[in-house]
Order: sequence, then structure tokens, then C-alpha cells
Amino acid sequence: MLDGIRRSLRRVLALESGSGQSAAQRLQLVLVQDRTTFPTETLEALKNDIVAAISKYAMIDQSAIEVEVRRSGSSVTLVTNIPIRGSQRGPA
Amino acid sequence: MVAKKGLALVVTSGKGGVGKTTTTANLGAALALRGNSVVVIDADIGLRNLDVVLGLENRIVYDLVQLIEGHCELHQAMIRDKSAPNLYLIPAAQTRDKTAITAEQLTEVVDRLRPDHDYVLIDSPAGIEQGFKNSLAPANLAIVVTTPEVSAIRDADRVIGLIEASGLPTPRLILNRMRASMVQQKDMMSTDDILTLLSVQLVGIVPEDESIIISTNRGVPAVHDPKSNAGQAYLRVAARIDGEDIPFVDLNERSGLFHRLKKWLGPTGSEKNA
Ligand SMILES: Nc1ncnc2c1ncn2[C@@H]1O[C@H](COP(=O)(O)OP(=O)(O)OP(=O)(O)O)[C@@H](O)[C@H]1O
Ligand SMILES: [Mg+2]
Repeated sequence: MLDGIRRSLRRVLALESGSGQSAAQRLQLVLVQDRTTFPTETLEALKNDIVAAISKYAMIDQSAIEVEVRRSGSSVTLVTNIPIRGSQRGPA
Repeated sequence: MVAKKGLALVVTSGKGGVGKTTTTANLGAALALRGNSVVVIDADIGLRNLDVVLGLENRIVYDLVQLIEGHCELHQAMIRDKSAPNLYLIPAAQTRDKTAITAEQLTEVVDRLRPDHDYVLIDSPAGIEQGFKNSLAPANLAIVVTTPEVSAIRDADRVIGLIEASGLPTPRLILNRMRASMVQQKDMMSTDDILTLLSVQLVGIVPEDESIIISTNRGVPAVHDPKSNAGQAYLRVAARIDGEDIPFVDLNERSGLFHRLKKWLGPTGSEKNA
């Protein structure tokens, strides 16, 4: 009983954090990951669209393209690496 | 005669056992008590439960699959509730599985009900498979039920994403089995924590409540018991769905040491109704 009151007070006064806070913090990271996980088909389709768009302006080596989702903490970046072999010579 | 609203709501969750069937039964009964004509459909084929929660298990003659397969008329598959006026149940088949119906067939049943009823509530099975997709197909709005636990919220987030991707509006959230004392002890995520994580709008907070077990034992939804806190919470959900602007009752505002301490310390200025 007395222990319970002490714990309540410690938590109310933020001397000690409860498990609810860990739950919220862990969920925040998990949800960011879940929301930014692309199914393999989607990533493949994205890659194809990028190739199609870039090919209008530059000659690229399709097999060398990398598309990747990179995470650090709660931030997520889409990283692509597209080696260019040469630009198109003026409009076709 | 007043025109019927004909709105279809799906009650879903992702994770199993968080209170979809309890919500469908209580919300259905509460909407009916408010004067609406309501049909609740058990779309959890093979795991029929809505009938027992409503106490209608002895009245079943035909089920949803038999209706879809043309073995009976629509009105024959609708069981009239014994406690609420203008509440009907279309039970699930118990001996079939989720592949027994298609999204189009369920949509057709719901569309036939719309002209004569204000609300059609669909009790979705857990998961994100065919049964879930079928339940979503006829709906105008989804109600996502979750409990304040990590796994339930994670699954709710996934389901919210799928619902939005299907073209439905952002679903409304019911937070079920909240425990004021644990939130006070900071051992349970608060309403605000959960709403921030899921970025959806709340439609109800239902406390953890023994009266749910008692009412399920009896087969009479808790909304019929004026002493049930959970029942009262569901009545408020129904009022909000009916378009009333009902403030959210903060579970922390009840009792306990924390409450008394806060009262004694005076308001902080950052308090709000969650
Ligand atoms: N607010 C509450 N307080 C206490 N018990 C509850 C509450 N809500 C639900 N329950 C209990 O939790 C259990 C699961 O509820 P319910 O069957 O409604 O969940 P469900 O989401 O429909 O499950 P399933 O995924 O299996 O269909 C039941 O035993 C029910 O009585
Ligand atoms: Mg259920």
C-alpha cells in the first residue's frame, strides 16, 4: 500500500518512468518502420519507374541501379544510386 | 415515413480478441435504443459469436451463407433482438469458412438492407485476410477497436493503413479496456499517447469493466444496464455516431489517490478531456 503510494508519487513527480512510456516510445519506432516497409513488388515497381523517368534524359545502366530504404532512429530515407553512362544528345 | 440513413459501418481491429464483437453488439443495441433501425451482421464465418453476445443463439434458423446461397429470403435470415427495438442480427455460418462468401455478395446483402435501415454494422473477423476484406467492402466508415497494448496498437495501425488504401475515410477509433488506475500509475499508455501514435480521431473510450463479462454471460448487452460504465461509454459512442457532440470523459477524472492529490494541488492548466 505504502509502496504503491510512493510509486504513484514518484511517477507523478516524474522521478521514475512507468512502462506506459516505454510502450509509447517503442511503438513510435515500430510504427515508423511498419509504415515505411515497401513490399518487394512495390520496390521493384518503384525502381522500374525511376529507370523509365531517368532514361528520358540520360543513358543508364539498368543493372547497376540500387534502390534502398535506409533508417536511422525515426527518420527514413529512400536512397538510390544511379550510375549514368552519358546524357542524351538533345531532344529526339 | 422518415428516410433511412442506410449507413454501413465495419467494426475491425487486426488483432483478435480486442472487443470487436462486444463493440458491435453494444453499439448496435445503443443505436437501436436511440430510435434507429439497425442490422448487425456477423461476418466472422466459422467462428460465430455475435449471436451469443446478443443472447439470440436459440433463435437462429438461417445464416448469412445460406442467405447468400439463396436458401432463404432476406427477412428469414434476420433475427429480431429481444431487448432493443428495431435491432436485427444476421448470424454467421458456423460450419463454413471465410471463403464461403465474396466481397460482392456481402455488399449485395448490405445494399439490400440500406433502404430500410439506418445502420448496418458488420462484425469483422480478426486479421487482414479475405474475411477482413469482405467486411470492408460494403462499408461507408470503419470503426477500429484497439486495447492500450503494444501489439494491438501496432496491428490497428496496419489495419488503418489498409482501410485508407481501400478508399474509405480515415477510420474512427474505439479504445477498449482502458484502466484509469494504470494510466494514473503511468503503467498504461494514455489516450493522448495512443491518438498521437495512430493519428486518428477517437469515437469512444471504453473502460475495462466486469459488467462486460456479466452481460455477455447473460446475453444482454451492457448498454441495457444503467450501472455499467462500459455500457454508458457505448451509449456515448452511439450518440457521437448519430452526430451528437458528446465530450469525452477523461478516465483519470474519477477517483483514486492521484485524483485526490490533483484536486488538492489545484488545476494544472494543461488538463483536458480525453
Ligand atoms: N471493456 C471490456 N471489459 C472487460 N472485458 C472485455 C471488454 N471488452 C471485451 N472484453 C472481453 O474480451 C473478450 C474478447 O472480446 P470480443 O469477443 O468482443 O473480441 P473480438 O475482437 O470480437 O474477438 P475475435 O477477434 O476473436 O472476434 C471477451 O471475453 C469479452 O468479454
Ligand atoms: Mg469477434
